[in-house]
Amino acid sequence: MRSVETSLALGALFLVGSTAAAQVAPSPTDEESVQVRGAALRSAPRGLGDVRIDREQLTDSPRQQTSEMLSAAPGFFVDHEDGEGLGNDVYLRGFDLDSGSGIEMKVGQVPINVPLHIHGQGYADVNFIIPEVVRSIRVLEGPYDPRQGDAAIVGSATFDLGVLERGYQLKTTFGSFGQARVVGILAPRGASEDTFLAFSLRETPGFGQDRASQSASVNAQYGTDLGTSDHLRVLATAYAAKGALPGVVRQDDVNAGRIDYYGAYPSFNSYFPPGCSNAACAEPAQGVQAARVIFGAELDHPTPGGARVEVAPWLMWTDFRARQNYTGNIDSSNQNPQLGNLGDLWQTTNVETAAGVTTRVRSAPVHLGRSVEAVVEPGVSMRAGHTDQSKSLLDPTNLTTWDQRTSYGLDTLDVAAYLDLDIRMWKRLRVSGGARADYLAVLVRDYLAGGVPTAGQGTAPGSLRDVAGVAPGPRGTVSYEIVPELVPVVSAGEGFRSLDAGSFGSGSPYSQVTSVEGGLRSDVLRGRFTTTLAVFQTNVANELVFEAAAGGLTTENASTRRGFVGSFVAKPARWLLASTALSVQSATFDTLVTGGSHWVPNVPAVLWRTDVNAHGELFRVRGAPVTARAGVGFTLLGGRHVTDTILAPTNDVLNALVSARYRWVEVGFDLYNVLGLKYADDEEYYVSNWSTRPGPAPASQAVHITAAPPRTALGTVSLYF
Amino acid sequence: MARAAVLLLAFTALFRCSGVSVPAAGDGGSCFPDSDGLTGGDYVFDLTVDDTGFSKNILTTQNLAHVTLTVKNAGTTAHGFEVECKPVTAPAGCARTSCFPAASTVVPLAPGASQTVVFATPYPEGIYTFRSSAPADRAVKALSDGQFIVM
Repeated sequence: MRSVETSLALGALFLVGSTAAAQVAPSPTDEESVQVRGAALRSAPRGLGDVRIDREQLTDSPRQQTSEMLSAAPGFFVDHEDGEGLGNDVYLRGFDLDSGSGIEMKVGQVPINVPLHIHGQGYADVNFIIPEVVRSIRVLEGPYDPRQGDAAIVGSATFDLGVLERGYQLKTTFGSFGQARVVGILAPRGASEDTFLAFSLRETPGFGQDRASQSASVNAQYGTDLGTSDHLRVLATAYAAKGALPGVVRQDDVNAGRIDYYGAYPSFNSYFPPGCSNAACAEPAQGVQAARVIFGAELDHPTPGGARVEVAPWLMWTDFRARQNYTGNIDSSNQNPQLGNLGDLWQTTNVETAAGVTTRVRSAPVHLGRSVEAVVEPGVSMRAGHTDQSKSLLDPTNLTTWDQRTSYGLDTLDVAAYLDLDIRMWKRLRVSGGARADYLAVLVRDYLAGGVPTAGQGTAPGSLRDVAGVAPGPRGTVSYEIVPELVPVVSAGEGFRSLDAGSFGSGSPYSQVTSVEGGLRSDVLRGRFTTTLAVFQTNVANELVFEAAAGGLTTENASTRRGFVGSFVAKPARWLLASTALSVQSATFDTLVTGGSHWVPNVPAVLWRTDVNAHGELFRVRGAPVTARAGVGFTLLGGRHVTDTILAPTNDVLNALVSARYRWVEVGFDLYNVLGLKYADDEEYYVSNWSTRPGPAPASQAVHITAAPPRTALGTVSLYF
Repeated sequence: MARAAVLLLAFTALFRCSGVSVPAAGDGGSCFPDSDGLTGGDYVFDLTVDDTGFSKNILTTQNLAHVTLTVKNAGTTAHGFEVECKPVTAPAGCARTSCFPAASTVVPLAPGASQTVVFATPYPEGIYTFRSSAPADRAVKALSDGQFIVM
């Protein structure tokens, strides 16, 4: 296995060697995009991590789910999951973002994050988007753009949908563990790339034990020109997924051969449906079920004076239910203290209905003298929602509730306004940014308040309280183009993330993030070689980390990230695309501990990602070309602190793809975890009393593992007609 | 160049402005780590003890938690409740042993009697052993090997 040091040195050499020659394509400038009818309003790049990733780069190595496409962005890594229904973990700039809860994600102008989700504030599962209809992703690392709202503490990602190849497509995939997937796309010829209808069905028995899952998704979008200049885009999506979860296995049990690496504990983990009384007919008690429906629209209207107005209303419904046991059987009932322990199977539920609108006006460039050009963009947005959420402990054998921990009804309102300025002086100096303010109001119905401990005789459980506050967000970027090959950039900004309902006190209902970065961008040969080098620091007022005994994520103390991100993208020939990104970072809590730093768990100190793809025409048969694609993606994650004193092993993950197409038939083969390594997707250190034998076991501390998928092969046949 | 120098200075100042807070004195934070970053909370336990053992072998709370514990003796002889001290690793000047407060101890109760105690759990995390406070119960394993998990 490659060591961290070796990989680090290789990555550094690669980056240093590339700096002089090359770099990541920055977002298109406003001058480019303003002439594209119906394209989203775009502005100057905000920071060194402001990148638009096109379809070619998104598909240069195997990426089965839409969330994994984010790994194509510098510094990002999204784990490959075999199951469905849970948002993937995202690593970026010193953050381990469980289920994406720290990145503002949007599809078009529709926000995907759920601000006060029971599974983590800002929870975002983007796998309702069918990967084949993702045209590009705009990624912005850091809170440096006034347009960024709730959850953008590490950055944001906006998914742009469209189908480049027009006509009908039918894809069928079969592969390891018996998994199967069918995708159909209707993209009428003559209609714009915006217009398509797509569906996806997937089923997998899963690797190892208790990992079967199913999902279905429909994405439909219609784009049309209205009159001579307006453009309307309407989006509708529906998604449902269900999957079993195996839970964790203890490292000491795996080492002793008491349980398989890909196994699941039998105790406190089996549900016996009515009529079933033995293990043969038992079902996994742990699992997840999720659904999402979205309707959205975007109207783009250019004014006669050259300004552009965009209005984007949307409506969203999400439903989530997870059952997970991390610790075996160590919890007691608070509501009924006499009750014996019945297992730590946590059930979390979250149902939200939300609606909102974003409106912005981007002025035509205003010239102040001969040297200064300015573009002004004011904007407003609104998000209102109602959420019912709960967290309970269930008896795994019959799934009845034996203790309720939280039960909330939440009415949320986020009203925001921002002003963005983009000023270019003497053609070389660019100052962009502005200010944003979000008024956040939450009405909390706590249905269990006063129940435990009891509020007193004659007092019924339950309370009603409201919390409100204004989250200010100054954000800006300054860049100076010495030459296109050398552009120093400095950015700073403040972002925010809603707090969870249980953490609301008398203060504001959000936690603040302050971030700053500085570095260089180099663009050689009009984007054929692009390099970025950035150092950054991010201060988080309230950390959000996994707490096993609490059954999920909890708010903790303040923390600080410091690090470096370097990236290099090369398109030396039409048939070759190569990209690499190296990030080195630290993530520590601000509280002092004896003997050293108190590390934020599970953050890789080193993250190195490299993708290479070759594609083009091989030869011709009867006058028609036979084209082929081959790609590899390599990821190294090293230096993850499980605790202050325990480091997780370094993970080396290699994926590869190859495909060939002749006329209307394409055959492809994807291979994940080519090296066939047994590695953990997640490692945590805590107390549990899991046992492979019947009867109670004493509790002890141990490393707990959630296994990543073993080697996975998928074959795909695609028909285009 | 002057602009670049100003930007560099501003960036340097921002980069250096982060601080490290010192835990409040007296909460144990300056001596012991709090691995999960969480403290406090209200916990209620009802524990029945008889001649063969406790009704629950594991009690779990956060550190510095507010605990209300009721112990009922359903046995035929006297039984009680107490938590053993445990050794802890700590720098010079800090305690090397962590103990639950005296208020957590339930003296041996007569058969059929019950008692409620209220106390706060200590700061150092770990697995403490709880047992019956009756000396005669030391020989009974199930009355001597309970686990009080402080997270």
